[in-house]
Amino acid sequence: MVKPFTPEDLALFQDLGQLDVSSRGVAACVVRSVDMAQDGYVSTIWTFPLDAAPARRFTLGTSGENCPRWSPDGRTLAFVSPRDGLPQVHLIAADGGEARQLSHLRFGVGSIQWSPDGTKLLATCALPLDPDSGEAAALADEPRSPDAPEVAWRVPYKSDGTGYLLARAFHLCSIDAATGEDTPVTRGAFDVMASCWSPDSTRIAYVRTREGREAHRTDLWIANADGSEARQVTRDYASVMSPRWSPDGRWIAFAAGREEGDAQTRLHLFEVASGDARQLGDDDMEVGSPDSLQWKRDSRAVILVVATRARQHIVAVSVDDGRRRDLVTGDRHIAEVRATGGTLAYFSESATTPRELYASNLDGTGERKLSSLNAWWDDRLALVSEVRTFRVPDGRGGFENIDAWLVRAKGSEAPQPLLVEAHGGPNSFALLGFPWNTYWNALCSKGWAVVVPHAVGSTGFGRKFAERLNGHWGELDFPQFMAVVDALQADGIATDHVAIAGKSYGGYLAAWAVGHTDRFKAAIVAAPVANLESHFGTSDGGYYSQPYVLSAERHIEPERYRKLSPVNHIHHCTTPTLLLQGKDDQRCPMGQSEELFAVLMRCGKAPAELVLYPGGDHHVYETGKPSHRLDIVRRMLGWLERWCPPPDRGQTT
Amino acid sequence: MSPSPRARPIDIDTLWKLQRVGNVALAPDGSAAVCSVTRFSMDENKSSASLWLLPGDSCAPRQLTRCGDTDGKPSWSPRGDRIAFLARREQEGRKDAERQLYVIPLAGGEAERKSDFAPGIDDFKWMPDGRSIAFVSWVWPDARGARAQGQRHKAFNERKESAYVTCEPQYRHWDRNLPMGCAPHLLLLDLESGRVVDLLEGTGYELPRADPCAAHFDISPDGRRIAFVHDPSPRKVAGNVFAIAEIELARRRIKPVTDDAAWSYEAPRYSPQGVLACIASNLGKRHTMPGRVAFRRGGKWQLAQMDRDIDVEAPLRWSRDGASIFFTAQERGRCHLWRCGTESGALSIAVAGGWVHGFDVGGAPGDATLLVALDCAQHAVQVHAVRAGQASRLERFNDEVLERVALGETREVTFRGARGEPVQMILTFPPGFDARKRHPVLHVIHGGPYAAAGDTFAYRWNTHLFASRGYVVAAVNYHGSSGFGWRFADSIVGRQGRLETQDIEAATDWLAKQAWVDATRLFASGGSYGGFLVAWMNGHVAAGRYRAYVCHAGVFDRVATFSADSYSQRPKDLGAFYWENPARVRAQSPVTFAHRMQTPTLVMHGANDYRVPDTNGLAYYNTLHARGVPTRLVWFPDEHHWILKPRNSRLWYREFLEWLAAHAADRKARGRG
Repeated sequence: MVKPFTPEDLALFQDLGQLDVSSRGVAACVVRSVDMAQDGYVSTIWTFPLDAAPARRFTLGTSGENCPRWSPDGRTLAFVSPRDGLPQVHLIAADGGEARQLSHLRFGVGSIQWSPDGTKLLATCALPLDPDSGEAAALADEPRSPDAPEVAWRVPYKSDGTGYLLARAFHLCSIDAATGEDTPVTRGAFDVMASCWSPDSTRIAYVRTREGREAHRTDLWIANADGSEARQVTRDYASVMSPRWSPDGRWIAFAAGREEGDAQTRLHLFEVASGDARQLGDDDMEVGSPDSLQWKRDSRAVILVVATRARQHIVAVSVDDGRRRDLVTGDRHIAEVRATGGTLAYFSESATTPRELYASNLDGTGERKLSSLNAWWDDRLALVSEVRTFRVPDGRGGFENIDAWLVRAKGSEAPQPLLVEAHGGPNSFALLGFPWNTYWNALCSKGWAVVVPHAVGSTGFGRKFAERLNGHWGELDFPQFMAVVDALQADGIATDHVAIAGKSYGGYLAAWAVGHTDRFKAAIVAAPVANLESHFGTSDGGYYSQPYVLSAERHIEPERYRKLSPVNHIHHCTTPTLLLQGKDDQRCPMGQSEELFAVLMRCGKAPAELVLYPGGDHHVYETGKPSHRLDIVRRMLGWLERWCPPPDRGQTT
Repeated sequence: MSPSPRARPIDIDTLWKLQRVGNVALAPDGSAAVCSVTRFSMDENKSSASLWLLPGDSCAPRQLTRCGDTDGKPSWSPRGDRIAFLARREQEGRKDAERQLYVIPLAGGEAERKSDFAPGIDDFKWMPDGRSIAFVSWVWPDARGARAQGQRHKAFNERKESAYVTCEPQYRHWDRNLPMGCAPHLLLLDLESGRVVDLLEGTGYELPRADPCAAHFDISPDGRRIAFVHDPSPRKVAGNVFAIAEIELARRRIKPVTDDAAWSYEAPRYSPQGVLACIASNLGKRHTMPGRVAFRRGGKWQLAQMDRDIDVEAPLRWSRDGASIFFTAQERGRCHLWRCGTESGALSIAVAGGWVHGFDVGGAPGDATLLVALDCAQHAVQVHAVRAGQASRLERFNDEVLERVALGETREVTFRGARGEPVQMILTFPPGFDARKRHPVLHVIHGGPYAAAGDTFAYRWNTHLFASRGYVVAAVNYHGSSGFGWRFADSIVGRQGRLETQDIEAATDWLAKQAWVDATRLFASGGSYGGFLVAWMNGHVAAGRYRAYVCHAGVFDRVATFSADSYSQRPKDLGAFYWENPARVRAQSPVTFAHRMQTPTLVMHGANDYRVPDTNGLAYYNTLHARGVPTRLVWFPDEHHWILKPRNSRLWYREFLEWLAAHAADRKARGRG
């Protein structure tokens, strides 16, 4: 029997991540399910033979399995698990038997990678530092107490989700795959963010932060496998990600952002012999997932997930001419990919289908679904989504076309109440994972339509389109949002029951909207950027991104910061507004919501509520405690039904 | 296996380094085996049991489970693609309070918890379709359904009162009280859904209360019926005569399949062709009667016409073709795997002991494979596969440790004992034994009494460990011992102590005549019934004959020992209830002869011993103290009839050896050989 989607469905959802495929053609990934009883999650590793032999839950230890990595011969799966307290490397045979602990690192292990010869694992480890040692980066004997003072002598000193940064450093160590013996590879006043092996296992490439006041920048380094003869090989990028050494040893592919604060990421190539680095592919090709980068076996192309017009696709980019060949496409998001032999394995999800594991031939043909972890979805009221194009003002007196997802229940009757969703970023695009959008599904089942415009500033539509919003937050994109609403009402798709919701930059836009129009019957503002001046100093990345995205330094053009801050317009608000905020959000800290709320309470008459989630970070909505997530979705639905009730109840505000 | 030149006598820590192999099970096609291996840490005073796969074909064994330290009772799924086992683990943030069922696929991946039944799972067998298991659990007989069981279990565990209240005549076993208010039932677990159905709910039937296990039931090959053992008497008490009933699963109807109330029927086993076999003993005639194989044919039970006076032990296992049935039984200090022709009753030794501790039968009918776990005096348990008469060893768990150990020789001696009958004695010599030197002698007297010293490698009472200190260790299979026929075992009933002591004394006489024995340095030790015997000897053997005794968990006072879990059995051994014939019972009780006790004795006892409650040891120690006889008490608050924790075991051995050494060195205490 077909049932409506409900907020409680979030407990049924099983999420897949951290895909790896063995040389023997077996995919491994982490499956994360919700444990409502413990108000947490259970992560186990599953295996899926690509030849469609039965899927198998492979590990069942405690609950926090992570980072599955097949040994090069495909006989052993390494993974990280806190089975005995600290996260350590464990090995499990591909053909039977339970895992044994390999590493015994004093402070545990983050992520791991096999050397191509299978003798070692390169591990990223968090080592405790004495924060008072500053640039000297003296190692501490013990991890710091959570109550210890947090001294800062540089930015960044905190990070959303992690908290205080200066009492630990990420470094590489090498773990012998036979004995588990570990030896340090890097040491110093920097963090290693990513790494890879050379194909002959003699060298490593890694991405590390700079020392001192430029610690927010990252560069590519190369060293011998033992860490000796380390040398910096890139200098001109603000951020480098996901280095991948080509099988022939000639290249290192990586993703990078050129300018500080620019969230757009491009594919680059470093030639090991010459030391030259260059961009690969055209400037409009947005890397959708840096982690997805990998080489084709012949070293002549890089396969990766790109973000393109609100979708994420798998493409191959030729090293010779930078030409891009689409492999796996469609109105959907590909989240990760692994190319092995003649097969691509990847996660696919869309607004209408849950994330599952798929496989196809290398050219994208012969697609087949390998996992059915979310079969419950099939019993729900089906969704349909489409990418609709809207003609909207371009802010220069003319018009341009933008794309938007329009999601509805199958067979719903227009016109419908409409939720306008503003995506985060703004240099990003709408993510389609169910944990992000649980309320879309529930709303659609209740007869709503959801529209997600990709207004100016969105990435995946060319560099210029993204950059045009710089310095014009709200000013350029808000009118485009309103044009989308106008069009949907004119087309008879939406009633005048229209609400707006958004998280992060989406929260900015929703707050901006209700300060500038009365058209919305209700608004939901989650984890917003509200006051650009205070956000600059209190967000973990405010000082870094804002000068770029506002095209203005705070101390030189404070007026622009003020003018573009929703908090300075919210006193005009007449729209019932629900504010949802993680109390430990360091990206868009609690104060942003509090400032909006105080103005709404003191200067406006519109109903408003502020809900704080203790311990919640910037991603409490997607990855927070299940009880918080459930509360968020229920409150959102409740707020919309209260202030924007469906017409069939005969109520209007 | 020959010891290397650097080999040294075995010591206590080395003994505890040995890995103990148990629970052997053969894959249905006979191609591989699984077993449990328990390892001990002397430092942490802990044990850890995990499952190992023994692939055979000269492939090295592979550790199958690592995520728990109580993994045991492995059992292959009917198709051989999975192994189910019992464990208490932490999985997905939940810690098992009781043992639950886990299933590990052979093709890869970790074991998954398949049951969440609050009272836990004590033992199980796969149903033939591989989709469910039948299992044994102590349940609340008046609670209906798994949910209600869970609630009752939780409420009971969370109660603040600690008292044990019962009207049952059988309420404790070995080292623990039986679950209060519960009865052992047979249940079904659906592996896919986790759903549990109690097959005996509301029927009044229950499995035997002493260690209910998988040997108490069997599933017909078509999966339609389960035969199970039960005590038909309304008053469930140890020693009762058991019956077998069959439950028809589809209609949940139970009908008895045994009808002779004089016989006890146990260990039912269906042949692949559906013939039911069991072990039947004529307990109505005499409580010492041996177990015999019986077959149910045409609705009647027929005893296999076996030509040997052996006592068949559970479990029974059929060959694939139903032509043979296998079991273990003792004979003269050895425990063999026997094959019995199901038509002819012809008996043969399929695998000779040493001592067979576990076995399995599998493989195709034409290619039958036997799996045995056996040890002997010279090595710890090894696992062998026997195919077409050819044995191949499947593991080398202890070879490395044992190669560094020099074990002395063992020798079997037969002498004339009580009633002029031949009695067997097994001697363990010190490594590097020099027959030109005189050695002190230590009697290690086995318990039981219906048990035997034999060609086996013990962890408690390891004779090599005693011999390593220079003693010649004598283990006498006195009258009453098992493996020497029914008459021999039965001979001591109603006069316990008398023939046994005559046997041991005759052994001592024999030993004293040997040139390599120092007849002035004789010692005797024993546990349980062996402890009874040394306490008895202290009141009956002339003082000075033995320099000192070691009495572990020995029966001292027959009347006080009516507090034991086995109180209902003992009057049969003694030939009387103490209130009916007090003199007869007193005559078999060491306490009666306390006034004659003069020999120094080390008394050891565990407080959780419900078989021989520790009041025996304490009373013995107090008595010797009061009489001014040198004595020493080693009392373990957290051990039962056996001392099983590594540190306590080490202390036990040390105290034992130091006690002997102190009295061996005492020149004043000159013995008289």
